[in-house]
Amino acid sequence: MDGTIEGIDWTLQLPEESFHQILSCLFTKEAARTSVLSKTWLRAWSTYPNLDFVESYFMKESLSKCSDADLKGKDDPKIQETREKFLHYVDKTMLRYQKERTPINKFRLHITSVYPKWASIIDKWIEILVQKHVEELELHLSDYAFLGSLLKKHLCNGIIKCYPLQMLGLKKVCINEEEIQDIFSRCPLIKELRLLDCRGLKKLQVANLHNLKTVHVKNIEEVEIRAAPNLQSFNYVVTNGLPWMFNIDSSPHLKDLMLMGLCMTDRFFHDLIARFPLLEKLELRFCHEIRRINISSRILKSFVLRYCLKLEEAKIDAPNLLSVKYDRMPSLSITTTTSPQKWEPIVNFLGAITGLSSFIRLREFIMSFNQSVTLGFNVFDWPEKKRLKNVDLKRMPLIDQVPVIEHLKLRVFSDLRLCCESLVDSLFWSCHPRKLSLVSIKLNKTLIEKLCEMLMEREDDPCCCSSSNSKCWRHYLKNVEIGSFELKNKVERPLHLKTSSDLFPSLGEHQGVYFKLKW
Amino acid sequence: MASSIENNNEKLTLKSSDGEEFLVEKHVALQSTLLQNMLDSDCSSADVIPLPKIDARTLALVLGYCKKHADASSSKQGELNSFDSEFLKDMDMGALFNLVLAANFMEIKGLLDIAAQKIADTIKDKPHQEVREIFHVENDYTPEEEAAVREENRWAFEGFP
Repeated sequence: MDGTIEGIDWTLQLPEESFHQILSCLFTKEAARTSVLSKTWLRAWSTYPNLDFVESYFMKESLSKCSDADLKGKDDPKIQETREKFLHYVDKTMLRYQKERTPINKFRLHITSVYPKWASIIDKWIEILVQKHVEELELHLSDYAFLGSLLKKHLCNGIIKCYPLQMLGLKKVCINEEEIQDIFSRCPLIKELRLLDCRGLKKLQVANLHNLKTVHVKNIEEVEIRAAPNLQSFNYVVTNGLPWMFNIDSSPHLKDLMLMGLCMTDRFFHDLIARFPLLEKLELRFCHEIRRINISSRILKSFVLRYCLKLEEAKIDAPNLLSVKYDRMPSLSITTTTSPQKWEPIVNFLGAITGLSSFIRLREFIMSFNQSVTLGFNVFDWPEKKRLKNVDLKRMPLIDQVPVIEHLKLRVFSDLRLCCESLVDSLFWSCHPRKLSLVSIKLNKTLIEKLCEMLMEREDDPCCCSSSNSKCWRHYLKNVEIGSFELKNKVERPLHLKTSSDLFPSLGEHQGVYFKLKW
Repeated sequence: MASSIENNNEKLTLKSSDGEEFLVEKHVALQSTLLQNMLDSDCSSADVIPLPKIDARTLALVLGYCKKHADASSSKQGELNSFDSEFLKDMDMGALFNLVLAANFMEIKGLLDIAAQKIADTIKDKPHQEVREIFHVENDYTPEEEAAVREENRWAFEGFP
């Protein structure tokens, strides 16, 4: 330090709770890094009451992309070594919080797999958490046979009849019906319940949790929620065609309903939503049996229809509707009585291009919307150049003006190393977006690089298309601004790059890239 | 007058650390949990309420925020959101930290949330020396100490320049 920083250190006057509030706006890794700023920041981080221990934070970049299944490879010495390091870090931190009597409000632990020798240590952590009256507890621990009984032991034991738990989240944890019932009876203040893929839990009965606001369940065959008058949000996900059943009769204030993978009939669906007159947000995914939807609501604001493969028609009479997000055009016909502010159709492109007609259809489809449309474009595959030889986009006729749209959200799910250029040419032949954005930076690295190169390093006066009457997009693009945005709150920040190679060093995790295009 | 009719336009006076007095409508003051608690207890609204930690410039900003939020109806959430983002947009860091202190002291949750978020956004992905300069943070570590803290949290620096 050369002491060139002038003026008083503003952060010195902040009370500890303000530091903690700032840390809570950051992702865990970002928050941990602030400890290097000064001793005051280290103290703030060391007393931060929200503990978030996720194994993949410790994995090197190459490993952090691995799926849960890969990380289970207990025998891989590298993974095992990192896991041990992680567990030691958690243990050290937990002991320090206990020793220094630092409060803990939230605790999250995510480990894919652990050796049984760690069982007694995890037992000790949960004991510490319960002593500290942790309010939010989220555990994601695969294959952990005794965790349910452990939680029951700590949460339900002792002389205190009521434990002030507000949020319980369990994923891949083994817990049975009796254990979870005991926990509910001891924790009547629960506001939020997330039970995902919990083995041993086939039936969930929730009753008399008067504070309950949010319930997210996945792969539980039977869900019954009774006497939860304040329930606002219910998410029910079923995968692999598992049986399902749910009953949430006594929650008239439900605002947010998300159902995924439920094969329900039109009748069932309409009977269901008739019971929730205050629904603001409705989302259906992979509900394959539904064919026709007819909704009338003055309250509904947001409607999402994704991958409902047999859905033919949706009639929505909702004057206050703000956004509609859906796919499967044009086989799905959507009609609304008043146009919502935000249409968000999503095109899933599987790679089958039959020639020029595919693109003409896409363009006609885009033209059927007004300019304010936000189009999601998911590319699962794209034909190689040689298969596209009879679709020379540069020579494709410009039928009339290319439609301008507000925002194109591009997501690519396969390696497009060789065909980035043809993808970009096709997209810009079909529409001219005012904004183009990509969310997953790591996955789409090649495409982003290519886009940057094509958009930023283009010539002012392109010499292509000289002999042709119709000119490609390069001749219409006037100006490009590039920037990054936070995935969490969509806050945008322009980036000032000299060349496309400056892009990646200036991008952080949890960010996406956008291009603002002036045509 | 001896009338005890509830008056919606009832006002109270707040006094900043540098002695400036602000006349505030009661419904605006209620945005602050601190003032709300004071009014709920035996504190009379005829008294001048001193705020010894908040200077006039900051208090004016805080009251501007409170007025906007007190006057807007709940249906105008979109309008309030754009007001919030404009409110802090070009604010200098010194004023922003003063605002956090004031919002914390007066217990104005919404203001504290947006101000803390703004500070957090400034920290994100910036090298430490740059953050220290922006916030005027005095680095009180010896190089050895700093290296030790970094080593302890090495997992958090994975992939960070």
